[in-house]
This record gives sequence, structure tokens and C-alpha cells, in this order.
Amino acid sequence: MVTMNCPKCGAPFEYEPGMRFKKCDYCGTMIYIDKSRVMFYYIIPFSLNSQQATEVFRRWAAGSTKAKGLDAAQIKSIKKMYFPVYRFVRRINGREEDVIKPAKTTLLPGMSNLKIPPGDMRIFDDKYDTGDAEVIQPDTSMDAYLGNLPGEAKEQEIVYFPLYEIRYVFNGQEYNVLIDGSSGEVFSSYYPTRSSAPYLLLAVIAFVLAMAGAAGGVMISGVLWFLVLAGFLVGGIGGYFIAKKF
Amino acid sequence: MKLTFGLSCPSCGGRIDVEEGDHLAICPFCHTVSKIEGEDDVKTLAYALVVDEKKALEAAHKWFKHGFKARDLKEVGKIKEIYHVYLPFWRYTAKGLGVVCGYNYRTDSRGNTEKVYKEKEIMKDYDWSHIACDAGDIGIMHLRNYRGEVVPLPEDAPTFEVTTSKDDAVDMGVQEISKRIVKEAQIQNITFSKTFVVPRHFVLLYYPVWIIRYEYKDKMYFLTVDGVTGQVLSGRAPGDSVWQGLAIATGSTVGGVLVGLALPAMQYVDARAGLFLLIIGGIIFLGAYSFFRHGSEIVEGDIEKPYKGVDIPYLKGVLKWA
Repeated sequence: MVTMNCPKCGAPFEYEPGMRFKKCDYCGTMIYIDKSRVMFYYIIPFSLNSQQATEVFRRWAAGSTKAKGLDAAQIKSIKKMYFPVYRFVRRINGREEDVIKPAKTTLLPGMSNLKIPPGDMRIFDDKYDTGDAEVIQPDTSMDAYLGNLPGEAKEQEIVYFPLYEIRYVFNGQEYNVLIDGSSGEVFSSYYPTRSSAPYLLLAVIAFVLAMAGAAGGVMISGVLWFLVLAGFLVGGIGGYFIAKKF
Repeated sequence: MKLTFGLSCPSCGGRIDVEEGDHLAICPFCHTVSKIEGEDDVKTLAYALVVDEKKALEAAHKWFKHGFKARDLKEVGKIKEIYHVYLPFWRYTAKGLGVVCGYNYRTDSRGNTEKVYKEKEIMKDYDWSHIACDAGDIGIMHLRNYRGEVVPLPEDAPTFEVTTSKDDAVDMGVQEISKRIVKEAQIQNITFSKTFVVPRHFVLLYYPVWIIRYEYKDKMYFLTVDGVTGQVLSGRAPGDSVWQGLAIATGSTVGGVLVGLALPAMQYVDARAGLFLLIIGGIIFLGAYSFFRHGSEIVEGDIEKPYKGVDIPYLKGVLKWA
């Protein structure tokens, strides 16, 4: 927690992220907090534990575009970390703009399109307990950006957000995936995919049977209507197995 | 370096009570009117949380049973975590005015198509909202409900911080409302349109939402429940192979029969009816295929889906043409 003082009566109050105005609890003065020349350190706490992150991974891996059986992939390691980004609030031609810049160069998937995941931001100071998570240190200084940003400064901060990096092995190959430790969003650039071929093949067979049944039933012989029933059965039974196995 | 500034009357130094978003302040002591500038802050409001934990859980259990979710979800699904959070939304209320000109095609009973010119004037109130932080995997981008008991944001309320610009939000709001005005005119071919968006209110609205995480066969899913209306807003749930099989069986049979009938229809009835059957059959088949292929996870709300949704306006256009 950061403590500030009322400029009128000197009484202390606690600053919280996002606060711009504060009414002094003692003298009632409305206090304006000028953040244009300071840098704030914020941190978003983890809302998922490692076990939950693993289960989020398994849910993601069971998705329809992922290879069948990926949800049972062997997990090699789970790394829990706080990842830093800079956020600048600038006033450009009377408009307020948010600019997000990398604080750390990284090859992690999904981290190149920068964003701050949703979360309940806290002040990050030496009293904040980061637990067993590694705090990734920025390798780019804020000054490197400050001089080149348009407009005038309104706010600048460094935000550490919670992240899990899961390394997993599938068919002898290693992959990695990132999970936002706050909302559970999954980022991945490369993963084993599932083929649509068996799905499409079955669907087309069932469709063609029904089509041939209807067209033939009207134009050639009523007996051919049975093909429609065959299409339904093939689609239903085959579809169930394909959805389960492929 | 000073970080905090007290707001007091520049004329007599007395204390003035200023609320966020105020533009003018009157000093209660010397009655001087002061203009507040520099910090055009947005008024912050919140809706009261009226749905309690029990009701949110009830909504979740009800949701488990509905739709094409895993049939054993209601027995096997275990709720692991439930908490509420106030999500920030930019809410823009405006009066939309517009003139839209253009023409529609109309076909009379004898099959003659004519161009019908139209001019429409629109005046309507619009409400638009957009989440003020990254949506992450929460699945709520826009509010669906604008009724609630307005309260100041509770002091210790868990909130997600605002991380997007309010000016960007205003721009988005104006654009979105302009689009809605033009759509309101229901003119297919637009030759001219002019819209005006007159702002009424722009607030930062904190909306209470329950976030529920649950486990199903060692996998973590979630859903969100509206803290005002008690409805499920978004969520992820396991699907079921039985529904997938049933979907493709029904969809390909119905679709196939319709397409199969298209040929005799074209030959014996008329070409237009045949074409109509062909398109309807095709759409049913494609819809069923999409569910068959991706139905292993049911996704609700504004979450990116593994398949593209059906473009309803485009389909309507195709059907009209047919």
C-alpha cells in the first residue's frame, strides 16, 4: 500500500490503483492525484493456482482444433511468473490514449501482441508477497520509450501480470503454452492440430446417402427412400464414434 | 514534487465538494462559481449486486442441464470456486439522428422486380457499452442489461482495473451507434446516409458479475452470471459425442433430403423453388457439420470460437435473392 498525505490537513490516506480523486477522510477536501511525473508499480495477483492452470490447459487441449489425446499430454514443467509491461497514458491533441509497450523482449507465444489481462491491480512494493512465482525483470527501461512518445504524460506505470508457462510433450515433441493466471486465457502459437478429414468424410457420406435417397425416391423408385434412413444411421453412429475417437 | 492537490475555492480558499465528472463547482462559502478543467474525468457508477451466491450457483446448475452440454455435467461437474467482481464498462448513451437514402428491390405477384426508392429519417435513443479492460477469457464484451440500482462503487469491492482509453471508447461508441442508425432504416442499397450522434451520458459503469469455475473430468471450465439479473452471460462447457453424432445425422439427412428434392423440384415445379431447397439444405448441412466438428466444447458469450459463426444478414440476402 502506498500512503499519501492530504495537502490541506496532512492526514494520511491510502492510494489505490485507478484512483484519481480522493476525498480526505478527516477534512473532507477533495484531493487530486497528479500522476504525470511518477511511475507506479502495479501487479495483478494470480487467481488460478498451478493445479487449476493445469486443468485449464487440459480443457484447452481437449478443444476441437487440438489433436485428439492432447489433453492427456505429459506435462514437463509449469513455470509461474509475473511478466512486466509498460502502460503509458498520454494526452495527445486533447485525447487520452493508452500506449502499451514491452518491458521485456520475449519469444513466448502470444506475448508479442501486448496487453494487460483483466484483473484486480494492486500496488507492487516490497510488502507484496510474490510467493513462489518468479518476477521477470524488465530489460527495457521506461526512459527508452518516454522520450519518443507523442503528447504529454498523464500516467505511466509498469504492470506485472500473472502467467503460467506450461511445457508439454506430445508424440515425442515438446511444445509450450501460456495461461493468463488471472482470467485463464490461453495463448499458444504452435500446437498439434486435429484433422477435419474424418469428420468431413462421414458428413459427406451421410449427406450423399440422404440426397440420393430423396432424389431417387421421387424420380426412380420409392424403395430408394431407405437410403435416407441409412444416411441417418451412418451419420449418427459414425458421428458418435468419430467425435469420440478422432 | 507534489503528488496531491487539494481542491479549494480559488477566491476564498474554502473547501469545495467536487464530484468526479463535474465541470462547475459553486463555493458554499463565497458562492464563487469555478470551472473545473484539465482533468475531464468520467463519472463512475456501479450497479448494486442483487444476486447472492446461492442464486448464482442455482443459475449455474440450471445452465449445466441446458443446451448440448455433456449429459453427465450436472452430476460430474464440480464447482470449485465462486467469486464476484465488478467489471468496468464504458457506457455511452446518445440520441441518434440520421437520414438514409437508397432503394430496395421488390417483386410483385407476377414476378416483376422493381426498384423502390426510399428515404428514412431516424431519431432514436441508443445505448452502447464496451468492457473497459481486456476481456481476457471472461467472455463479456458488451452489457446486455442497462437496468439496475445505481450505487457508488462499494469501497472494498473487488474490481478489475480500467486499462483502455475513454476517448477510444467514445469513438467506438459513436461509430457503433452510427452503424445501428443506418441499419435501422432497413434499406438494402444505400446511396446516401448522414448520421449524427448526440451524446447524452458517458459513464464508467462497474457491473457486478459472478465468476464460477468448475471442474469436469480434470478439466477446468467456467461460467459467468450477471450479478443484477441472475442470467448466465458467458461460459465454457464440455460437449457430448452423442449430441455431435445426433447433429450430423439429423443435419445431413434433412439437408441431403432437401438438396435431393431440389432436382425433381427444378424439373417438375420451377427453378426458383429448386434453388430455394438447394440453399436451405446446404445451410442446414453446413450448420450441422460445424456443430459436429466443434461441438466437443460448448462456448457461450463473447469468446472467440473455433469456427466462424453463421453470417445471418448474408444468408438473408442469399435467400431473398433466391
